[in-house]
Amino acid sequence: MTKLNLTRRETIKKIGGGAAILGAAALGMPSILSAADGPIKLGFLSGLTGLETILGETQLNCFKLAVSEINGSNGIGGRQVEFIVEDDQTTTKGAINKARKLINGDGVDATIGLIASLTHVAARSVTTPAKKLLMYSTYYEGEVCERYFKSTGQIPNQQIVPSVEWLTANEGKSTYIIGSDYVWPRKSADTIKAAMEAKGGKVLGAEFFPFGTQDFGPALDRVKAAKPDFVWMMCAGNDLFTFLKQYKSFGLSQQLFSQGLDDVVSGADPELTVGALSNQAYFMNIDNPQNVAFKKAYGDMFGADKPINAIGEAAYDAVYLYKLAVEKAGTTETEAVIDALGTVEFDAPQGHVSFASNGVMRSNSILARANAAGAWETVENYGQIDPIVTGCSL
Amino acid sequence: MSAYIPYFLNSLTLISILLLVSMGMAIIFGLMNVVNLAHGEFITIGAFTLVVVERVGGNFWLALIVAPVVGYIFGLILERVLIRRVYGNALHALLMTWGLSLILQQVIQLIFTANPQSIKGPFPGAISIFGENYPAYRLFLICFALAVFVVTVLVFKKTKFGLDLRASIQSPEMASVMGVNPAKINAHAFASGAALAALAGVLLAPLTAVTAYMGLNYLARSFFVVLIGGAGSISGVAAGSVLIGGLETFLSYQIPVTVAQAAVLILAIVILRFRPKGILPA
Repeated sequence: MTKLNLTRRETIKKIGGGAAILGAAALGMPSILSAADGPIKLGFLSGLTGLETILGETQLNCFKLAVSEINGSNGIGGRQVEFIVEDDQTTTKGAINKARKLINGDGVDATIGLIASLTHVAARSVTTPAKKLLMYSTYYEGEVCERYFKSTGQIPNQQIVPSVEWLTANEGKSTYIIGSDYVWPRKSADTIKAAMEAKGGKVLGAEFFPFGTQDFGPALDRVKAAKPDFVWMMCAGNDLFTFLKQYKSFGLSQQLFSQGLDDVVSGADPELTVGALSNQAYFMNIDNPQNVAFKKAYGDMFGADKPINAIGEAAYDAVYLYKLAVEKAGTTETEAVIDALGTVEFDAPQGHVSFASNGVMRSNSILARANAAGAWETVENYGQIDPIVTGCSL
Repeated sequence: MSAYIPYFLNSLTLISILLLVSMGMAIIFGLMNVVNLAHGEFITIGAFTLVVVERVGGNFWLALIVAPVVGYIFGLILERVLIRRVYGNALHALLMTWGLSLILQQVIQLIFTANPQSIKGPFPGAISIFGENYPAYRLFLICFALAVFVVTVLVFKKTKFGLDLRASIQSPEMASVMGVNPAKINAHAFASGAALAALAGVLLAPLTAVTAYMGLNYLARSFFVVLIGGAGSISGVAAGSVLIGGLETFLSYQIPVTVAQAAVLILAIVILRFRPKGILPA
């Protein structure tokens, strides 16, 4: 015989709970009570402290903007979107721990975000074996071919290759590469070398520096001695600013190119970036109705003086593409959503976007120059380019 | 010959940077034996003092005077409120200052946002020295670091404050018997360390990204310099900076920088194995 353990406190609790459920039902919110139709949970994982803080903030803002717009207009297929923000501290350890927490602890339906490539490598080591969707919104070195990984930023054939073509035609045939010491600059340097050689050019030197490097003096001394036609820089996050400050002071006259420069970087200190070239999928100067509305909505939510960059815009696109895929699939079940992601299209601020069969988004390639006000002026617009990942078809 | 000039000046620049960020640490950790993990944030506070001074219409030179004062006052308050409760307990000091550094980083980020701050340093261009162009600001930094070092040594060796401080560190009981107030001396010593760190912050701002996290880059480095140079002696800081800065620059001309930094670390471990009190102990 089981003992009936009814106390007064328990009874009151139960009656109270029942009343709450009844009350909610009476107010016309029955959908919230059913688990399958509850809110859709997204995880946002990125570098909110540490090296990439400057970029993480904008990326998070764009993510929040997309979610708030979606929730304001009937959610995803009638379901509201909830999100959990986690900080990977721009470290592999942080990315792994927080990806685990989001997937196993919070049970998110998909994870969006990430900046430095070392964090996408780390996060994928969790999400891919767990068969959970990870959407990466930063331009990167490419070469990833995994069903559970989708990227909305540029890869080398959309960013580096067209830039090399322009630079070798207009600046000269030799370059010197300086970057931070991790996967993105190192792998990108290989691509740059191959692309330069294909155009009859040459990489005179490539040097990589640990995060937090305080003195680029010796490197700049060597750049000076090598006399390249232009300098290619891939320092990440805050180190990028350290490099720019020291580059100016050494009085180097060569054209500076970096695919890590965008409106957020130039907005923080226009004096440092003036005259530099970059290639991004999105600059704030893009002229179309979607971008006008996007910039206005962003300004209303976070302040009109806050610049937006490609990483942020691609995070915004990722949320919308996910929404369209879930609506098309009629479920948040990962396999169905991934299948649907390959078929949906979105009118993004950068233009009309969709995923190619390799899981990378078809995105713009715009070569631009920073002006004294920190804005970017288009030098050459290559339009939308299909991503190429050798041997990858998912 | 002229090829060696930039190399020589680059070595001096890195040595100066290390010297500046480690001097405050030499007092707080080296002399007072307080493991201060918020040392980097004292540097950050100095750099942000420059940001504020420039925003209200001042310039770099004014900040160079204001920042040490801000650092000193901040250090004094901190010592009175928190630090004095943890003297003699390294673990408590460690945890407390670590927590403090996290709080300071976040507060600075909340006030100034995550963006690196734009500042205007003096001497933006390069000047010709023996036929080689070298950034003028770096030359200024080298001279200024040397001056700060000389003044600090003089204060410690030649003033009553320096004498009292050294006495109360060697033997707090005996010093207080002789009429030295250790509580007061400690407070001023800690504040002086914070002031030196804040001064370093202003001087580094034109060379590096000014963000709430900038101090982290200097924390491990400055501990390292003080340990290698010899905890407890100001001249040890110079020895540590020259060894680490000189060697790192030399190696970075020969091998990849990441490897050079690792090699310097390994060498430091070897040195500490044979000279556990550092190169120039007190």
